[in-house]
Amino acid sequence: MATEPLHFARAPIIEAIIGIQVAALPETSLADFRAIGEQVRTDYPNQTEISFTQFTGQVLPQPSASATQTLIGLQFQSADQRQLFQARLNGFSFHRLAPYGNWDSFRGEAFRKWQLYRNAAGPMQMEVFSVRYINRLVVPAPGQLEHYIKVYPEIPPELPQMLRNYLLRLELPLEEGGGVLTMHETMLPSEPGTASILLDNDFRYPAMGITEDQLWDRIDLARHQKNNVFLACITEEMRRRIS
Amino acid sequence: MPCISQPRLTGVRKEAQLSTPKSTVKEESFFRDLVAKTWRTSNFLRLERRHEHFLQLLSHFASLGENWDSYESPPPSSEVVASATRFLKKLHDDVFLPSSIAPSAEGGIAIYFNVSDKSAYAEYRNSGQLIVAMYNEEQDPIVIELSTNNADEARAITNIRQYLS
Repeated sequence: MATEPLHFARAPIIEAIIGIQVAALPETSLADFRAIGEQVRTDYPNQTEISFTQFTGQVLPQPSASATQTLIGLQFQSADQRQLFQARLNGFSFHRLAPYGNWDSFRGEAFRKWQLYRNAAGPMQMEVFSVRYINRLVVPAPGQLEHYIKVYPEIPPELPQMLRNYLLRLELPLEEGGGVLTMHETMLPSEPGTASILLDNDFRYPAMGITEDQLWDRIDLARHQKNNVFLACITEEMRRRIS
Repeated sequence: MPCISQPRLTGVRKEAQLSTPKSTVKEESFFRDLVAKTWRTSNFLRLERRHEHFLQLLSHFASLGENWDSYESPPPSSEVVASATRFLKKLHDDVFLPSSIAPSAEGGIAIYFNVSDKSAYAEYRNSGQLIVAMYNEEQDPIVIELSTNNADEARAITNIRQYLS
């Protein structure tokens, strides 16, 4: 496995996420999450509630419908909206939108905010952690997919070869770390003469029974895995375009 | 080998509505749930979805006729739709999408922002004006009249953003 840091001058990353799912916390934790807002007010001034809404309806014997909304956490967002973290009853996530800096700053800030969450939530059982990188690969259109990306749908030559759009989802077990890579690929709206390929790689790993130190060591290992997968997905031409 | 054809363009467009056979609804629901989870857990993808929604609304506004609200209001002009689309792109690039978009009774398109107890809107009028209004329950509204040029639109976004923060 390569361990070299990966850096592209025109990095296609549009969002990077570190997520840690935990066993359901008591609702009383919400008050503790509100206190986090005071600690991060300078860098994350925008605080919003995250709710889970459930609609229930029946047709017989009498048509009826109802909706319930349950508060499940809080989101703290930077003034420029490009950085945010969520403190939820079922877990924590840290998000960085473009422009993406580098792993050390991203991981470092995620770790600091995780510590705030950890301190607010108290004892907890970690279940799953994930490292997710969403990329937008902008390529000329019309053009051959294979020139830019190595994962794409193969279409028998008897069928039309022109793709207006496609949605590809792969769930690939990872030998290292016992995780699963869920890859989504589709086309986003794009400027005329170009196509924007969404390459969304979500690496999820079990976190039951590991310590927090082990958790963050494994998150660091996942970084290398996501680098290797990304490099394996793109062609030399695509690499040249983002370098 | 598959080739990317006509890309999905950003901006206002009209697409044919395809009907869905009932037999495929269950499968669609399965895939929709899978995809929805993916989109819901990404801030970027949620923003993209909202952006798409607003573009579709603007497409719809472009097709409004006279008296669209039964109060004899004029429809937004094609120039206003183009300006609002351009403004939306700037907001999208700035990761600052509005809360809603609606045609205005005076003839134009208003782009609304709501954060907590504060509200603001930028309204493109058929007359060529760009009106920015910012208000809450405790203070008199702040109204700024601008033009539809790049500098004024950037100023509108900055003002609204600062007011709502």
